[in-house]
Amino acid sequence: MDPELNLSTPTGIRDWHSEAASTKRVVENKLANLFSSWGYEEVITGTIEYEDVIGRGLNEEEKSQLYRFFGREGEAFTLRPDMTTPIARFVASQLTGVPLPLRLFYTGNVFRHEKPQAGRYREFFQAGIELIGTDTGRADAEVIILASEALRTLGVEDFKIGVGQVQLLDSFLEITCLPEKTKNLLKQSIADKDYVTVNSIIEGASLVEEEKDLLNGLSLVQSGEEFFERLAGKSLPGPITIHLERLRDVYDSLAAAGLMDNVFIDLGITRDFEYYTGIVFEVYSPALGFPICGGGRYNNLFGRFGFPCPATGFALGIERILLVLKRVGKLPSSNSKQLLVYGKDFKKLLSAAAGLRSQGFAVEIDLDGKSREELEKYARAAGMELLEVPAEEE
Amino acid sequence: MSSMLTIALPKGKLGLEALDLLAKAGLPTDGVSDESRKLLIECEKEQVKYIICRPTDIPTYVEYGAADIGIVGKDTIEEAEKNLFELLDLGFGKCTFVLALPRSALNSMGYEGKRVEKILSHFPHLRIATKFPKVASKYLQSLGVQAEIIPLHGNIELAPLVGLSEGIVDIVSTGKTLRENDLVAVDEIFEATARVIANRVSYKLKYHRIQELIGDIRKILAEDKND
Repeated sequence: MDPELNLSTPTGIRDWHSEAASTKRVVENKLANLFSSWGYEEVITGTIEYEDVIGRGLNEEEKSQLYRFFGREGEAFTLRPDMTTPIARFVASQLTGVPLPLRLFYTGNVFRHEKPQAGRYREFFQAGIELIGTDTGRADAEVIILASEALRTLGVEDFKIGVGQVQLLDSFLEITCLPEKTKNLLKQSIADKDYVTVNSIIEGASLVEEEKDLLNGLSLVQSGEEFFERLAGKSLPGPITIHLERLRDVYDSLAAAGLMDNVFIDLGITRDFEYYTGIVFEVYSPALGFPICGGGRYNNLFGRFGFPCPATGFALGIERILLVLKRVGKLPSSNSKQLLVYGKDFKKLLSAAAGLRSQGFAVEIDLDGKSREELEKYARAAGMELLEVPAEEE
Repeated sequence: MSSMLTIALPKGKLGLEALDLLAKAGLPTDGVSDESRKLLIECEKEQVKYIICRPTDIPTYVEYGAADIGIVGKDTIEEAEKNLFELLDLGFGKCTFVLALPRSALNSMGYEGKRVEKILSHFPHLRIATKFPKVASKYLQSLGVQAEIIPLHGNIELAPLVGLSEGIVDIVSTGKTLRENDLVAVDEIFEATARVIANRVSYKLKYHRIQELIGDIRKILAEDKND
């Protein structure tokens, strides 16, 4: 390598090659097949979008993470920071007439100029679904069930699903009558699991002991049973009851799907994007310190593109899934044995190689007329077996 | 799912206090000590594992999930700026972040009663030596003061004495070191105590066990307070 030439990639941008690239393709194909079998259709949107169009789905902090650049006419472009917003833009502009619900899936790369931190790239890959035009507990449940199916299809059996409801925590905080600023800090602290701050705010608030206990209890991660037990028999304001009923409905549907042992309730799940409006969830594996999948309901996003319509969905992080698969020993491998064939007669080489390929081998042909010794060295380095194709029939 | 709970503990006094607390909470602590050279202790029966490491490394062990939970000072947590859950304030290991300047420099400007921004404006080019560059720059930024941060690894109080910096940002517990080196704390930045931190995913996967442990520790702390 010429030290004078800068051949590095920008921070957070990586190359994919060899096994990494092939396992990524296998994983994406398995996911695509699964999503298709549930009736989801593939959608591929462009990598580059107008910044003001995509910006409609984002808050200020999310906008600050966009990769931005200018076109030749001075237009402001951006690289897509997620797939949900471009899909909302696409559906609102081209599919408003189709019968609902609409089921879409995607695999693709997204870009976020985040502070480099553990387990994050700035260009990363996602596979996911959007379920558009239905606002029922069953729809919320379907995306969570499909997310678990996706993990099982890939061989990940050991995972937990944290389920929350973004409005529920807001409604509970509403009845505390805390000042707006304190409420926001408490909400953020529950999301960040900063229990030192959570406890000090709740202790200092002018609430009766029972309300303090309830808030402290709600801020915890807990099983569905504990959660609903905690609220049983309490008389609660209307909005809370509605959100609670939906959560109960989803929880029961997940139990019906046999996911009871995988699910816990965490009202602190707020997700990366502020467009979420209802049931949200994240999936965790003991093999990784970060969520591997997340999503939820976002009923207002389509409205911002002129097509008010409820929707929900999820995205799996491909890099993270690959890490988990590696750590639990479930990384898909290409089973086909690799061969290197060589010989003087090119026609015979071609037909021998074709024959071997049809038997399932991956076959390379020596093109350079290398010596046996050189060929052995090359084959060993690439993990291939060497096979001579004789020129003359004996 | 692994039911092993991995706890990262700091070497030194804080670690010993933490061990004492964990023993009271019913965790096995035999053979776990600061003195021994063992850095990894596994208690198979009780399904607990300890990692003994440098205090400043604890947030890293926990962020990456090498340890599920850890006990470390808020000073270290603030400086590390990691993505962690902070579960409990243990109250011990108390120290305070201060900005300190040499008494001689302060006396020559008549600093008594002056605001800290005013004091710092006396220096045309301000250099602050510290072991905590992130805490120090955040603090100085909040004052609106431009300063050059000089990161050092120890004996920060030496820097102003030899003309390496005008002042220091450091943690103090008794203030003895400052007095001995003729330094005066002109501002308290914040108070730090030992905290229990948790990995973001471990906490959610092992919430039953971790919350139970936190509950037990909370009870012990409350009892100690009442004694």
